Amino acid sequence: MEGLLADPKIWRGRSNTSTGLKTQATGIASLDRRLPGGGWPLGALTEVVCDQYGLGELRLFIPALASICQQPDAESRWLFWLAPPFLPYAPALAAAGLDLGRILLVHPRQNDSVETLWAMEQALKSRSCAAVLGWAHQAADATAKRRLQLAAEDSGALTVLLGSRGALAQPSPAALRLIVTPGETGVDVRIAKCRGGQVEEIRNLDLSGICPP
Amino acid sequence: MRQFHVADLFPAEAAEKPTVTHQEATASAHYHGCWLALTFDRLPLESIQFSATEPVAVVDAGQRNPCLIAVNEFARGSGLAPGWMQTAALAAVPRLRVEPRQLSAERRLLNQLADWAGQFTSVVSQVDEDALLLDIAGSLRLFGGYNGLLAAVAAQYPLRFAPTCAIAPTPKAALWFSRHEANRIVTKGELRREIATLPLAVTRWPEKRQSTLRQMGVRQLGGCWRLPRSGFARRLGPTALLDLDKALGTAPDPQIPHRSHRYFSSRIDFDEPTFDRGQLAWAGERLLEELIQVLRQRESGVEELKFSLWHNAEQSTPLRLSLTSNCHELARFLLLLEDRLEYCQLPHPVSAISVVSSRLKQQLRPSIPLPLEAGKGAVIAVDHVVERLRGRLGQEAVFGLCLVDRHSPELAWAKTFALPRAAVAEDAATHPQSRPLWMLENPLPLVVEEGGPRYQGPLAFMSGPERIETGWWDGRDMARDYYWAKSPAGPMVWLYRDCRSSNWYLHGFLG
Repeated sequence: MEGLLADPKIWRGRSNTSTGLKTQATGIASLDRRLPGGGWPLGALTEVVCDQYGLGELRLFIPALASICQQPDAESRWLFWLAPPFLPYAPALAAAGLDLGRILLVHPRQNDSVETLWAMEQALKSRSCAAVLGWAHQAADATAKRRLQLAAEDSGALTVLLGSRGALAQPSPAALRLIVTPGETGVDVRIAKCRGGQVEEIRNLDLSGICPP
Repeated sequence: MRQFHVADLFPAEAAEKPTVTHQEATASAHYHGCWLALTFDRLPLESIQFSATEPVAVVDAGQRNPCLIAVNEFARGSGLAPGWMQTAALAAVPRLRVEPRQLSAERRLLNQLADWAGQFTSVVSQVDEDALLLDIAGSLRLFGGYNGLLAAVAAQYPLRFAPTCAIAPTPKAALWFSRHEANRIVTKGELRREIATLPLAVTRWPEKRQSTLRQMGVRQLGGCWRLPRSGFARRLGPTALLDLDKALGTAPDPQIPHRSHRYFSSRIDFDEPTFDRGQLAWAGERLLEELIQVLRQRESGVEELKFSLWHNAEQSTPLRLSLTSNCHELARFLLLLEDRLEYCQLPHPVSAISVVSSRLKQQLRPSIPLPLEAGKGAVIAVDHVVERLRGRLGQEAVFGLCLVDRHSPELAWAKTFALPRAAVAEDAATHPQSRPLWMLENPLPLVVEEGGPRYQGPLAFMSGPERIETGWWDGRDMARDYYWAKSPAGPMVWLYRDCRSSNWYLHGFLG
């Protein structure tokens, strides 16, 4: 019986056993419990839909990025931030534990997502990055996202694409898709799509521990 | 018939006044070193293709009665020599092929030879458009003496016609010996004796001066030394006296060292104007190969290349390729060029492509190679990614962040373009807490209604005020009260009230 249950071809209902995914712990306990593998998927595309920036969607990733920066292994593992909607404020990033010497900001000239996705793909293909965060300001093309997913698989980095509902409306091959909306006391995170998991809602996720004002 | 010497005409003077070589006995300083002179007497023939059984001569086409400047072996065997008039040469050898002299090609060749000679010594100077002088005092030991050096020069000479070499303690003496006889080595002790046997023609003094000396009965340089110094200078000019002093080593003879070109530039013209990007890429690759060869010779790299696609004589489309570090790898340049060619706009067909490089810089450490077979496992250094992104998105598009020790929040950070840099260990404890992760570049003025600022609805203040008052000493005076507030739409906002104007501004989001 144990041998039968351990067969990966059998999907066991609500349990979230790790299916061999490599993940990076989010640092937020309630999110870790709900995500397959116990963290952000590495080597796969994560989409975060939020209609308004500044809610806390960046703070979801800060603990993971901080722990990536503290990994002792490779000095050449960079964090790429592509087309952020506002300026990432350096003192706050430093206070949060990120290594400023390893952050690279990329600002494409045009606002369309073509250059953003191309740049993300180049960064992933070089395999010299540990995390790539990109912001899509206009509708991101499905084929471009597919290429991004393939590049992410190749590189094994944390790949996140953030955008508004309209920008990420196209069907995508992302391994994880979150929808972040404001809640009463925190943020509401809806796991719209994840590998091997269920659609879940987390209400009033408390992010006040991260970068407290 | 007794031969007259000038000294006989003025015997008293000759006894009292110092002669030309008298200076040597009294001079305390001798300017002796070790110099190798290479004379390329057949340099004009290098750029001409001919077979072994064809007599070829090069003439200076601009003159009224052109003379032969250089002849090849076969013509020499037929009796011709440089200095013959062209008409006489053609009469003697009717089959003679006469080519005009190309000074620009010769100068270029001499420059290349000067660069090539740099491997034997660091001090090379060009003389008279057909000779090189090398200061080999420091290189003798490396090459194993005079003969070893001459053998090395002969073995590695890149062109067809070998130069005539001579080694002497002074540059001028070496030059004169090289014009007279090949592979002559003259040491310090025999310098005076050997110079005395040289004919006048090696000095290349003006014909008038040489004929004056011949009329005086002086056919070899040794004859000049029996003449009184002052008389010699008066009749033949002070430069002649100085030349002799320089050759003997009693007067200094500084040489101007040859400097390689500091920039690279080249151009390819197309037969027909074209829009075809494949052809442009091919031409660009040829130019890059030429550049790489030059870089290899000089052991240098470049940081920036500016390609120009010429539509006509004045209009061109520029393409700038910029690298993060000194580089001499073809693959990196080629990748950037192909990227730029793919995305550039061509308003008109292109008739020529040219490239100008930035300054050639000495390559001190090996540049980071680009793994050409970048398969699944290869890690490409972040330099290349940054170059690629900058190539397509612009130089200013990729940057890093660093902290600045200022109180004012806008000035507490800065962009850095010098990438990549090593991981910097920042002391996080010294940074004030409670700063937003997102900051607006330009603070957004907020509408004030019902006694409070509004952003997507009435704001609920959570903490504050934090007074920041600074910058009065450099003109960026500010006095602000910063607050954290929660907006009804969700985000936590960081806003401030300007103490002078009492206006409210939104400056950031918690993120």
